[in-house]
This record gives sequence, structure tokens and C-alpha cells, in this order.
Amino acid sequence: MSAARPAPTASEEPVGGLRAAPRYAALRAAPRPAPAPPRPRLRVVSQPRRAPRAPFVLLVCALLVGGLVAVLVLNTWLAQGSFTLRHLQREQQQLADQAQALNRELQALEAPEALAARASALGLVPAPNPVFRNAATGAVLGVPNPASPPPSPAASPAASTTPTPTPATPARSPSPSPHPTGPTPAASPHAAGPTAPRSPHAGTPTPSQAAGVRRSPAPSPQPSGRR
Amino acid sequence: MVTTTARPRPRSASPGRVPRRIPAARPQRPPRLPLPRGSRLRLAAPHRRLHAILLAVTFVVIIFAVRLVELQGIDGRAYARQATAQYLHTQTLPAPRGEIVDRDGAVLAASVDARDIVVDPSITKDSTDPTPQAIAAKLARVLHVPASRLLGPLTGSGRFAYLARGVTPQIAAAVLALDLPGVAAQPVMERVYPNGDLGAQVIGFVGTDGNGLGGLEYAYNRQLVGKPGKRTVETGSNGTVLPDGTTALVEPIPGVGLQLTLDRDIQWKAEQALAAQVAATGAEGGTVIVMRPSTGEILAMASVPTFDPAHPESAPPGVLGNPAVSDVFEPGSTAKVITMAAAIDSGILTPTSPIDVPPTLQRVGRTFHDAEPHGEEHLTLTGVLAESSNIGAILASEKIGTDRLYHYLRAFGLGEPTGLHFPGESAGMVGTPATWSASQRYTIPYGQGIAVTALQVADVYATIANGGVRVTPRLVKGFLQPDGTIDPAPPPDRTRVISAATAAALEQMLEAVTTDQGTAPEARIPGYRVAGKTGTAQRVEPSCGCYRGYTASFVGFAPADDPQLLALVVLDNPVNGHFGGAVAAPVFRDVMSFALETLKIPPTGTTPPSLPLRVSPDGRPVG
Repeated sequence: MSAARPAPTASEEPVGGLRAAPRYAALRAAPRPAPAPPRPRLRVVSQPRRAPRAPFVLLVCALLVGGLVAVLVLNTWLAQGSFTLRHLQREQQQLADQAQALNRELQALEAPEALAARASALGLVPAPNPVFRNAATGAVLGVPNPASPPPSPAASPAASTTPTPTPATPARSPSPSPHPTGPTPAASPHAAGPTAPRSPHAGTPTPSQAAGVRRSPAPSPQPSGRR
Repeated sequence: MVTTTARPRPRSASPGRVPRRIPAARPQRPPRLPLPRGSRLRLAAPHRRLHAILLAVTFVVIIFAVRLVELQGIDGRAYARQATAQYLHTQTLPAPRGEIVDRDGAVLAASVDARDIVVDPSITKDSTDPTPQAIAAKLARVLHVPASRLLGPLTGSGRFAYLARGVTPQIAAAVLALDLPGVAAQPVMERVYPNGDLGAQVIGFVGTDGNGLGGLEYAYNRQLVGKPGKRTVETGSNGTVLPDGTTALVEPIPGVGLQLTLDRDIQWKAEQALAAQVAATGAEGGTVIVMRPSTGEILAMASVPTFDPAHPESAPPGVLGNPAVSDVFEPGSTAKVITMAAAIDSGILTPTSPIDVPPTLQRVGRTFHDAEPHGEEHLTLTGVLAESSNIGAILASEKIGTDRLYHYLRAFGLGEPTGLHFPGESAGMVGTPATWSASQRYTIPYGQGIAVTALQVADVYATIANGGVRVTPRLVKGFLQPDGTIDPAPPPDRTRVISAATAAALEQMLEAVTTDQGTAPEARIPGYRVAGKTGTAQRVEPSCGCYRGYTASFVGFAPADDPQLLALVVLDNPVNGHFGGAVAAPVFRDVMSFALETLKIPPTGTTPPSLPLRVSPDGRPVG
């Protein structure tokens, strides 16, 4: 554009440029009306080529939409996780509560009071004095005595002192579930001498017979019922 | 701003260019010059406009800046607080109180999650649908309390009332499922005692704030309480925790648990046998203590009457203590063993030293009797102990002197707390000889005129059973740390009180008590060698300060030649029979048998010695 424009102030000096020379000649000959000198042809200069805008706009829009969608998805995902977390926490709490309740029930069942009540409901009586049998030598330690017969079944010490809501009332013990666990250790001595502990006329049992109904040191001690 | 200042430029530039070209191309059009000139006038205007805009913008920016400083710098903290209060919620995480377990780890006291059911009465009071009555009826079915008790809180004043405290989470969930207006559940920690009143006097109880108020719960409260934690979360309007919000969590530190020396089964047996005997004899109360003499560990400590530790508020006044360490009584004959110990340990008498016991004894204007009338008797020192002769004890004490007797009374731990450090523990009362009255000098040798606690008596006999070395009794075996380890309690103090030979001699003498000639054949356990002593003391009635009724007691240990266990039974004012050998010894036998069986202590199988109880008038021992 600047090349096409004439420079009126640079008249005296012949500034280099082949195209300029005819113009200076024409200027010098200006006083004289010259037959119309060949004017430089003017032409419309086209605008400089620009990169097409549409793809760029589309790209930006796509990025924008994509970003928004990504944020939305991410947020939804996080919110979903939060809901799942809350749900699982609630479930965990419920299970913990349940475990705690079952634990309390178990503790009430294994309380000595409850065990004694169930033992006496099964007709077990406490041993009058401790007698042991040495498992290795078979020697009986202590003086075996027959146990006194159980009192009437109605006499149950359960309700007297324990205030906890213990489900181990004698009424419940005959239900099938406690049976396999409860009476097993206590019932095994019965196999050795079934009649000795209960019959009042057992007389004087031989030491070995009585030791059979006593506990040997091996089984874990079991609380006995009230007399 | 850049765009607004940039826009005027092309506008002012293009009119400038156009006039220059127009005269050159078309000089015949001068009249149009005023137009460019007019636009040239406008060319000067943008500067002023710029200034104005700049001024306005600066003004606005200054306003913004001032406001910014005001918001962020001056009021900032208050606004920030208001904002965080809207979405930040801090929940207190209660720290579970330490468990109390027995020597085998069976739980005696535990903390569980529970809920308080609370109500805002301002909502329910005037509620029409449902009416307070309907709410109460619905709640009563779930909470298992009469509806009339709920109506009060539901229609009360204020904005907060308890409907039920410490209910299980399941019940609380059922209450919330009813979806009643104004009713809510608050998480709390509840103290539970799975074995009911087992060991209540030892374990103690806690108040509604969860702090121990009695027994070991009180004594070790500092260790048992944990440190509550807190969780700060950002929540949405519906309470959902925001996933990307900041969360601060301070974990609660659970309390330290106690492992006791108590054995749950022996404790139960002791309580049960004691309660039965108290009922059978019509006694006002009683105490049983079972301990290991060698370690001072208390395996059982039971007293009647007792209370329910879960509901101490409903207990009758005065039963919330531990009578085994707080109640004092005159020991009676069980204290004779101290007189004997003083006599033998000083080398003045031996178990077979003859003592002539007259039917009555006159001293300081008073006549002293034995429990049962008898003629002139020629007993050994062992016989004096076995037949529990008061006169024999007085005669023995006259040989050793009051100062020495006092020395041994104190050496055995009477007149001072045992070192168990149980809250409310009494020191008992043993005055110095200077303060003894004329008759006290003669009654103290057989156990009247001094006051002791049950634990002190047990401690005296534990010292003898342990070969003369006194071991400080203890109830706490160790501390259960939150990480699952157990810190053992510091070892107990050991003090030698009497020589091992004296202790061995006393053991044999005490074994004579449970023979047919002694006062307590009822205490015998077939197959075992049992040593012990009965006590039948006149009892001080607290209301009148006079003697009324009896304190019957028996204390003994087994096996006598290798003492593993010691048991003490005290019955306060039994009516149906009052001799220690008749009412207390059977309880001792039951509890001791059970304890020996539980701890699998077999008999030693040795033959008991037969110390002569009597001497012929010429001084020779007779069988």
C-alpha cells in the first residue's frame, strides 16, 4: 500500500527505484499540460487473508461444553459416592448396634446367675465339696460325697437379684437352641454315673463311682445352682 | 477499558485521512471542508471523555476497594463465621468409658451406644394432629413406659425435655420411625452392668453425666473416662456430607479399662450364699471377702444389702457404699489371734503353753466370762484359741503387756487403711494404750473395744496364711490400654509382721478351731485341711451407741498347710442364732468349697497335726 502511494515531498532528490523515474520526469514536465500521463493503476487491495473463525469458535465451544459436562459428571459421581458413603455408614451403624445388642444378650446369658438358674432347671445340683481326680494317675483327691437331691423344680433363684433383662429365664431354657451348648459339659458326668447324683438312697458310693460324677480338673468349672 | 479507549481512534483517524485525499482527487469540492473541520473538533473530545470515564472508573474502583477492605478486613471474620456456621457442622464423638472386667476378662461394666429420646415441648404442646395424648400413646408402646409418664414432658414448658434416657439404638430407631413431630434421639454412651448387681459395691456406679460416683468407677474415674473427639464436616441443607468439603476429624480417645482381681463366679457364689444366710438368720447385713493371701488379690467382696449399679438413684439411702471397707465393727474373738501372735512371736508363750482358765475372772471391778459357763479348765494356748476363751486371752495378754499387744495390733494393720485405696475406706479405731480405759485393757485381747473393717480382719489372717508377710490387698490387677495391651498394676507392698515360725504355729493352732473340739466344726470341708477362727462379738448399735445384738464372723483359709485361699464371713446382727461357728462358718464352707473348685485347688492330702488343747492339772498335755 505504501509503495503505491506517491510521496509528494520527495521531489528534488531522485530516490532510487526504477518505477519512480518516470514519475519524476512527469513532475518536471508538469507546467506543460502533458498528454495524460499513465496513472498508476489502482486496484482494490483485498483484505489480508484471515484464518477461518468457525473452527476455532467450535473448538472453544466444544472445550467449554466438554469441561462443563466433565465437571457435572465428576460432581455427580462425587455426590453419588457421598450418598453411598452415607448409606454404608448407616448400615455399618446398624450392624454395630446389632452386634452390641447381641453381645449384651450373650453377656446376660453367660452371667453366673443365668447359668445357675439353667443348671438347676436341668436338675443339676452343686457338689457338696470339691473332689478332683488326677488324670494321669487316676488318684482321687478329696473325699467324694453324694450330692443332695435337687430341690423342687419351682425353686429357682433367677428372679431374686438380677435386675438385667436376662432372657435366660428357666422358662426359655427348654427351647431347642440352648440345649446343644448349655448342658453338654454338665451332662457328660451323667454318662459315667447316671444315678449317683440324684438318688437320695445312693448310700456310700465307691470313690471311683463318686469321682465319676465329680468333676475332674480338666473340664472348665461350671457354676452350680443354689441349694 | 481497553476497548472503550481504542474505539475512538479509528473514527478520528479515518476522517483525517479522507479530507487529505479528497482535495487531491477532487479539488473542485472545497465547500465540504467544514465537515471535516467539524469532525476535527470532535477529535479533541475523546480525551476529555476518557478523563471522565477514567475518573468514574477510578471512583467506582475506589468504592469497590473500600468495600472490599471493609468486608474482608474489618467485618471479614464475622461474615466468615456466619458463613461457616451455615454449612460447617461439628459433631462431638463421645469417647467410650473404659471397661471393667474380672480376672478372666468377663465384662463387669461396659459402655455401649445408647440414645436419649428428647422432645421439643413447644412443638408437641399445642399440636393438634397428632395430639400430645396420641404421641404419648404411640411412644409408650415403643418405650415400654406408661403413657402418663410421657405426657408431662410432652406438654411441659421450654424447648427441651427428656422422654427416655439410655434406650438402645433399636428402640430409638423405632421411635424415629414413628415420625412424630418434635421428637428426636441423641447419641450418648450408656454404662451397663451385664451381671446385674454382681459386685456392685466394688464396681460402683456412674452418674447421668457418665462420671463415676461410687466404688472403683469413682476411684479410677480419671483413667476410665476417655477424651471425646469431634468431627467437623461441611453439609448440604439436607445434612448430606459434601464430598469435596473440608473435614476435620479428632478421634476420641477411649478410656483405660480396669482388670480386677475379682472372679465373677466366686463373687456370685459369695453374694448368693451370703444373701441366703442373711435371710435365713434375719441379719441386718453381712459381708464376704475371698482373697489370695500370697498376692493380696481380692477374688470376691460382697455385702448385703446391695444395690443395682444401673439405677443407683432408686437405691435406699446408705447402701451405695462398700461395707466391706467402710463399715466398722468390734471383731470379737477373731482378734484373739493377734494376742496369740504377740505372745508367740515375742517368745513368751508357745502353742502348748498351759493356761489355767477359771470360770470367771475379776479385773478392775468387772467380772469377765466366757461365752459358755464352764468350770476350772486347764487349756493350752491352742485350746484357748480353739475354744475361744475370753479369760484365756486376757490371761495371755497379761503375760505380754499392753504396749506389745498394741504394737502387734498396729503391725497387723488395724487402725489404719489397708492400702487398698478404696473410696470411703475406714481406718477403724485402735487407740494408743494411754487412751485405753481400765476395762479396755482387758477386752481388747479378745477383740472388744477396738473397731475394724471386714477387710482388715481378712488382712490379718491373710498375713498369717502368707507366712507372716502382710501383702497390701488389691482389687485392680491391671489396666486395659486402648491398644489391647494390659499394663499390670504395680506390685503390692510386702511387710513382714511376724516370723515365719510364728505364722506356722498360728496356722496349726487355727486348724484346731475346725476340729470337733473347736468352735467351728461346721467350717470343715471334707478332704481339706481348713484353718480359721470364729468371732461372736457384741455389736454396737449405731442408734444408741450401746451394745445390742451380735456380730457373728468366721475367717479362715485352706488348705491350712499350703494356704491358697482365704475367706471371711461377717453377719451383722443375726437373730436366728448368733455364734460365728453356727451362722458364719457354713457360709465360709460353701464359698470356700466353691472357690477351691473354681480355681482347681486340690487338697494337699496331708494329715493335720493334733496339738493338745488341754493339759492335765499337773501340766501334761492330754489328747
